[in-house]
Amino acid sequence: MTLRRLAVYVPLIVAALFFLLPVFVMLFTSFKTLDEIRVGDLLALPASPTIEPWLSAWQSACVGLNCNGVRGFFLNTALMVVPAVIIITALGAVNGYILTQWPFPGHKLVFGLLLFGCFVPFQSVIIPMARVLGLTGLQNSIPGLVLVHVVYGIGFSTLFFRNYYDQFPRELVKAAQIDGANLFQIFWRIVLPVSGPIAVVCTIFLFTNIWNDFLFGASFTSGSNTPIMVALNNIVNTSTGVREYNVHMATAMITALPTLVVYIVSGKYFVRGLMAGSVKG
Amino acid sequence: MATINCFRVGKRFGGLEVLKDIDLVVEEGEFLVLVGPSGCGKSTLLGLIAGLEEISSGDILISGRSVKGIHPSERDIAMVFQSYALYPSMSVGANMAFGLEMRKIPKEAREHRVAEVAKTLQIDHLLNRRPGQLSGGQRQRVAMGRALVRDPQVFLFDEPLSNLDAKLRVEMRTEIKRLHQSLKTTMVYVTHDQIEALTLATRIAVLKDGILQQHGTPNEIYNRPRNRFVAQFMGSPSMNLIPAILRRQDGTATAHINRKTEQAITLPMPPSVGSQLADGAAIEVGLRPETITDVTASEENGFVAFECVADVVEPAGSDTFLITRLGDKEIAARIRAETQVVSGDRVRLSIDRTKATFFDAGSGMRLAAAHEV
Repeated sequence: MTLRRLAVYVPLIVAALFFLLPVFVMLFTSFKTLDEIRVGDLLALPASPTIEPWLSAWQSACVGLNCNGVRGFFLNTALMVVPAVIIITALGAVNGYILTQWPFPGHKLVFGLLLFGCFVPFQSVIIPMARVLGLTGLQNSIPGLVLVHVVYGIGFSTLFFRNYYDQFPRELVKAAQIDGANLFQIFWRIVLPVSGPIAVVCTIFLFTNIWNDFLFGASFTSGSNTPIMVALNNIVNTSTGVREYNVHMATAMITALPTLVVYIVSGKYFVRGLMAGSVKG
Repeated sequence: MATINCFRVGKRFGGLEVLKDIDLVVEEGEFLVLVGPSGCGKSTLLGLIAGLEEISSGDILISGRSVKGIHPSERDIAMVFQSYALYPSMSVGANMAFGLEMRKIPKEAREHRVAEVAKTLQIDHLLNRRPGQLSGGQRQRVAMGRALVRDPQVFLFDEPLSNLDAKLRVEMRTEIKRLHQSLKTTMVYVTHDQIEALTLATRIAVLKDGILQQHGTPNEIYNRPRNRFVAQFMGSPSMNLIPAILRRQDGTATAHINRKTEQAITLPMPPSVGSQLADGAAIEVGLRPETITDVTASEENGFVAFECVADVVEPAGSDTFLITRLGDKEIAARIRAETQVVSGDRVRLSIDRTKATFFDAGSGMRLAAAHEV
């Protein structure tokens, strides 16, 4: 019994350490001074911890010629992610509801096409998308990025909600019809209140994906309009001056923090939501 | 209170015809039970009356008004579903009030009505609970309560008791019957359970493969089944059907049941039964288990006695069922519980000939007596 436990836990701990090591290095380095980094051991704890690199990353690090830190870019990303996630989740919920509870002729084809959209490689749409953004006047803007992510995200959110609502008893909708509720009232009063788990799954998935997006941000925005991922790249890949590793690490931590927080806060719903429907009752 | 008229109602799903030309009349205040095996179309017919499914051909009238194209909520019906279909995010009270809320009944009136109905159903202490916190029987009551608050013209029930355990099912059955007796509202009830059908209904419609087999009172369905299917579907254990030969001689008719090793049984028939069939025609004798029994010699008048070997003995408390063979068919007889029989015993059984029914072996239709035709 204990031997079996060891056989399970030892590889798990080793694997966890393997993945956590870079995080430790980042975290330690972000609290060290430049001098200490230059002479010290990569894995050593900071000798005299300082939050200077974090402050610098937030408000004074230079992204290109602009030396105001990443706070503006952080805000850009937040302004992109939050509306995009809300819109995509809402559209996915409506799509899933209609596709499962009010199937119309051709609903399978529509769902198939939406699903197909999930598998279109990002790179292949960059040029057409740039043209569309140009024509709509949304180029180099946060609303433009929101649009791009919404278009890409609908397929996934529809898939999530469709599969979730597929388990939703048809008799409930029938009962509500007899009770006199219309399509929208049934959705709002009966279906939506029990959609919490899948909404959380959808939110975490989209939040992580969109927050971490680099390609669209780098392709469609520039200067002060870029999301934080692009700004992070610009800070780290700067070719002039001293390489401030501590600031780079702090910036990377700041960039990664929101997705981490979202995951920790709602992680248990995520697992529960993924399980929902797979087991009856 | 309402009448329901179904005129040549048909329903197709693609190429599949699930209901064929159903003609049914439900009188005011009647309790109609639609019964049949799975896939016979009974739930579909209920769905058509409710308006949850679209009718393919024919017409349905509720209180004389065609409901074609009329939304379920405007048919003045309420329905109780098999799964109860309670709204999971709402309290019991909100569940019951939802239909009234959608009809824009003021809040006070809604609450008053819900409280009233909850009290009659003894669920008034549950009004603040969620459906998930209720037992199966309580959910069933809430589902009925939700239908009752609306005070509709017609109640529709779709196998409402099939998810309950046996004991609770019998209790709720009585309760539904009591409800019908006090409300006197027209009710249509779907079930595959023939006992539910016989106990609840004022009228039964038996369906098979989308075709209406028979429509009549429980008594008619049980005692004068129109065909072999109805005869065997209704009643438990089901009716014994024994192959026999019709003999006509000097204006009398008899059914001869040949037996391999034992003496043949001759069952007198009313001469007018099956008058269209000639001497020697193949028929089937339908005998319900309770018509084959053990009687004392003094009671044998009107009975036809025969001897057989008990194959299986199944005591059921109030009676004992005895499985034996007659005319190459396995048959069930219902004997007194006091009679001591064990498997392998030779027993003397008697057939109540006044209760025998006869079927045409070819068409499976019951041979009616002349006065019935």
